[in-house]
Amino acid sequence: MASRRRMLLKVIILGDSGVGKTSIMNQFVNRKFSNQYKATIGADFLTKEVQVDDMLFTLQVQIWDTAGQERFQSLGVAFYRGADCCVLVYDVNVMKSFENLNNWREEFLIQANPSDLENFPFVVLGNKIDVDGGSSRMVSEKKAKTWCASKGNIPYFETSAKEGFNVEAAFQCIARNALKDEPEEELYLPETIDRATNRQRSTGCEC
Amino acid sequence: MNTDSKDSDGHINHTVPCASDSLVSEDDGESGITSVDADADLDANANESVIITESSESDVDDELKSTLALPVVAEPEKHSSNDSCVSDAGDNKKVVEDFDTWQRIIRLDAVRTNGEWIPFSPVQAAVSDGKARQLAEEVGLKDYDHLEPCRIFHAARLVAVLEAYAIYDPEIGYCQGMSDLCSPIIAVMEEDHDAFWCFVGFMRKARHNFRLDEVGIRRQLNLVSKIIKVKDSHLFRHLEMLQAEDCFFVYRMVVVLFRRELTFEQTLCLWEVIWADQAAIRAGIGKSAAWGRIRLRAPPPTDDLLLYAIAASVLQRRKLIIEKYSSMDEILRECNSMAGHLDVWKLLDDAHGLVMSIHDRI
Repeated sequence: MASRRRMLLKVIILGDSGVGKTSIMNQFVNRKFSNQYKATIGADFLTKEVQVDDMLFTLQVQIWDTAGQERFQSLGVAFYRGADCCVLVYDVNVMKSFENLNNWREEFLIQANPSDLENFPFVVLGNKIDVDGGSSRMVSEKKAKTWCASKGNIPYFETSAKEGFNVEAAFQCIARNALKDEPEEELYLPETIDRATNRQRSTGCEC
Repeated sequence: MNTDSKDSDGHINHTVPCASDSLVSEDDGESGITSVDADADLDANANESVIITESSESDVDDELKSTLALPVVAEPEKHSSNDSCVSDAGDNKKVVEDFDTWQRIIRLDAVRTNGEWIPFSPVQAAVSDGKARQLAEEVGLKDYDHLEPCRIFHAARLVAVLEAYAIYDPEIGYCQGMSDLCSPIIAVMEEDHDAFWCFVGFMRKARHNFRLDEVGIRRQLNLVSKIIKVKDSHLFRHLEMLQAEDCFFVYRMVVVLFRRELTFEQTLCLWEVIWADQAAIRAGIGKSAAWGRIRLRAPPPTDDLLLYAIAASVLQRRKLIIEKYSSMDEILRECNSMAGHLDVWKLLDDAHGLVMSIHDRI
C-alpha cells in the first residue's frame, strides 16, 4: 500500500453567487487572486496534486467550481457525480449567503445522492474576512460554528481568498475528510480502471 | 392581469408588471414548442409582441428613465415581483431570489465585466472620470476604484439596464450570464433606453436560457445531442460510453451564446448571423417560392443556428474526443478552454454545412 500510487478526489464547491468560490479554487490551485474572475456559468474544474502529510501517496484533487445561482442546480447533477467532499462557501459579510447554506447542503444531498447520507463529508468556509478589516461582517464566527455543529460537526474555516488566508489549511482538511469517505478496498484497485468498472461505480449499482 | 394596482407607492407598480406580464404570457405560449412548427407561431408572436411593446412603451419609458437615474425606485416592486416568481416557479421547495439578491449580483457582475469592448466604442472609451463616477454613484455601484473611468461607466450602464430588465421581466429577474449578453449591446448602443429595448428584444428568445424550470436549456442541449447523433454516430457512441451524451459539456456555450468562447468582435459576427437567420424565419423566407430557387446552394434559415454552431465546434474536435478523452470531465475542460482558439468563420461554415446536410432530419 505504501507505494507512490495516485488517487483522485473529487471536491465540489457550492454557495451563493459572489461568495468567492472561483477565487478560493484559484487561490488554492494557482496561488493567485484576481477581482476580475467572471461569473462561473455551469461548472469548471481545476486539478491539483496534494501531499497529505502523514499519508504516503499523492492525491489528485479535482475541484469543481459551480455556478452560484440556484436556478441551475438541478442541471448540476451531472457535475456532482462521484463527489468525495462538498465545500459550502458563504460570504461573512452577506447574511443571506449564510442562511442559504442549509439549502445548498440539502440540495447537494438530494442531487448527488451519496451512499452514506449521514456521514457524507462537508466543509464550511466563511470567506472574505478581509473586507473592510472585518467591520462589515454580518455573520459571527460563533454563529457559523453553531450551525456547523448542529449539522454533524462540519469542520469550519474562516478564509480570505484574496489574501490567501487559511485556504491551504482548509484544503488539507477537505482532502482528509474526502479520504475518510473512501472505502479501504479502493486503495488496492489496479492502477488502470477499465471503463466498465468506471461506469458501474458512477451509477452506484455495484454490490 | 395585474392585481397590484391599488398600491399607493406610485405608478411603477401599475405599469411595469403590466408590461412584464404580457411578455411572460406571450413567451409561455411559445416555450413548450420544440419542433419546426414553432416558426409560424413565432412569427405571430413576434407581431403580437411588437404591439404589446408599443402599447406599454410610453408608460415604461418614463419608468425606465426614473429607474435608470434612481435605482431605489425599484424597491416597492420587490414584493410583487416575488409573488410572480413564486407562482411561476410552481416548485415550492425552491427558494426564490428576491430583488435585493438580483441587485447585489448585478453589481458584482457589472464591476467584473472585462474591457474587451473598449477598442470598438471610442466615444464611450473616452468618457470623463467625473461623468463615469457620477453615474456609478447614481446607480449605487460599489468597489469600482480599481477600474478605469470607461469601465466604471460601462459597469454603471450595465447596472441600469439589467436592473430595469429585472423589473420588466420579474419571472427571469437577473441571472448570471445575462451581463455577458448585455455588455456587447451596451458597447454598441450609446443611449441606455436604446440599449434596454435591444436587450429586451434579444432576451425574448434568450430568456428561456435563464428560466427557473430549465426547459429552455434542456431543449437546446437535447438538440445539440441530436445533431451530433445524426451527423456522427461514432462520436455519439463514444459520448454514450462516457455517459456524456446529454452534452452537458456545451452548457456554457448554450447559456451565453458563445460569448465566453469568442472574442468581442467574433461574438458580434456570430450573433448577427444568428439574428439574420431568425429574422428570415420570421419573414417567412424559408418557405417562400424565391427560397426554392436558391435552396440548392444555400442552407435554409434556422432558428437554431447557434446550436448547429455549437455542435460544429464539438465535431471539429471529434478525433481528439474519440481517441484521447475517456471522461466527461475531459470534454468539458476541452470545451471550456476553446476560448481564443475558435475561428468564427470556419465555425459558421461548418454550422451551415450541418444545416444543409441534416436539417431535414432534425
